[in-house]
Amino acid sequence: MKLIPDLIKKITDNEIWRSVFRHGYADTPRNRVLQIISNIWLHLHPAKVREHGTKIRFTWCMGGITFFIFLFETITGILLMFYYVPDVNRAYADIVDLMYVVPFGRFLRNSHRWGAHAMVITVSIHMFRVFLTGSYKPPRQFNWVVGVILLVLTFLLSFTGYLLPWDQLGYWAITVGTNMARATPFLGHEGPFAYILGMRADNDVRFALLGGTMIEAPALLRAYVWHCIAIPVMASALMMVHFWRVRKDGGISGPL
Amino acid sequence: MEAKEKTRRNTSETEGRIWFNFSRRNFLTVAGWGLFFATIGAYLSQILGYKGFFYPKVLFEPSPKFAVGEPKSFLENSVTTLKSRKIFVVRDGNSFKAISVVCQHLGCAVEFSKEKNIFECPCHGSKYYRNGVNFAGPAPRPLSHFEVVLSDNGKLVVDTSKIVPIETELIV
Repeated sequence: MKLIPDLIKKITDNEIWRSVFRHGYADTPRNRVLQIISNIWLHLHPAKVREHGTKIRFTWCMGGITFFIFLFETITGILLMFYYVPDVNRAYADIVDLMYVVPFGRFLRNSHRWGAHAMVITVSIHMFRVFLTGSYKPPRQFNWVVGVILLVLTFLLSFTGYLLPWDQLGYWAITVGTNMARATPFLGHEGPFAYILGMRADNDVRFALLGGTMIEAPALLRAYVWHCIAIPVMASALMMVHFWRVRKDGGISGPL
Repeated sequence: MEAKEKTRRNTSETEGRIWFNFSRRNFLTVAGWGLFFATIGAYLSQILGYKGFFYPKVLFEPSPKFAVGEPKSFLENSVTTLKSRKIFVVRDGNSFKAISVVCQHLGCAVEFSKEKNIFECPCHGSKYYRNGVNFAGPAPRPLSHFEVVLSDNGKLVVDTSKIVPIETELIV
């Protein structure tokens, strides 16, 4: 009784399956290419990868792992949004409920946080690898710049997520972080050359981050919207460019 | 038909073999996919399953079971409307009943008319006797009656999650 092969045949050998997956599993070079380029999820990838591109000791797989963590953070984040309200009177209580009452909530929240830490680490190691292998050199300069923006977006995701529990840790972290923004040259009201643009406490870059001069309800709402919608959308768009450019710039760069 | 029989014959021919044979060559592939689907399954069951993430343990809603006061706080032969709880407390002598204010036609709140001694619906004119039985208008059935019990500290407790037959009454 060959249960699994029979089952696979039953599932795949019909018109419905063939209408979705137009190219079968025939293991020919042409069909492999067709499988990749006719699939919306796979077509961003190169149809063929050079052998060194699959060598873990060359790539460390840190970009792929970062992307995987991003997907994981998206899924756990969406789930957390079902129980979290960004209201100053409710936010902390909702987090406590997630930790102590909601089934599976503690695991989701903790894994979201660990995932966030891990993503900062893996994205940094990815950048380190790209630097060591010289993969920022022509023709890949533009993709390096896209990667740097993605790095900044990763940091901003971490930063905005920090405030959301509305606890002492997040509150003071955002206090310190936005006090740094206060000292930005030109754009912060305590920074150098602030007078040129006429910066005050109620119109500088810190004011834009917090939606006010203090960490209050608008700051929590802004952190929430940036964290859950705006930055993930920007990062997703740039990731598409990033992966596509890896392909267009000649695949994963080879050993020097 | 022929194809079907052929499949059946093939199945019986291979019956002697083990359930699923894979060589050592693809053991790690099978194990990896197995682990992957097991993880996905574990997550899905914890998130979507019974008493999982989407099944709240705590509801921030008023309890369906609530105390309405001591029996002596209701006048003899009276109908008391508890608007926020959406019930009437009907007392006849020593008998107590809790009747829903929700009309059985389209869910409006019925009102008690003291003069006529009946419940009347302001929306479509359904009428119910004092015991909740419908007698006029579009209402298809009597008003719901809820369970009433006397608690240990001598208070009447209504449970709107438990509907009882209309003859039910609590004699105190």
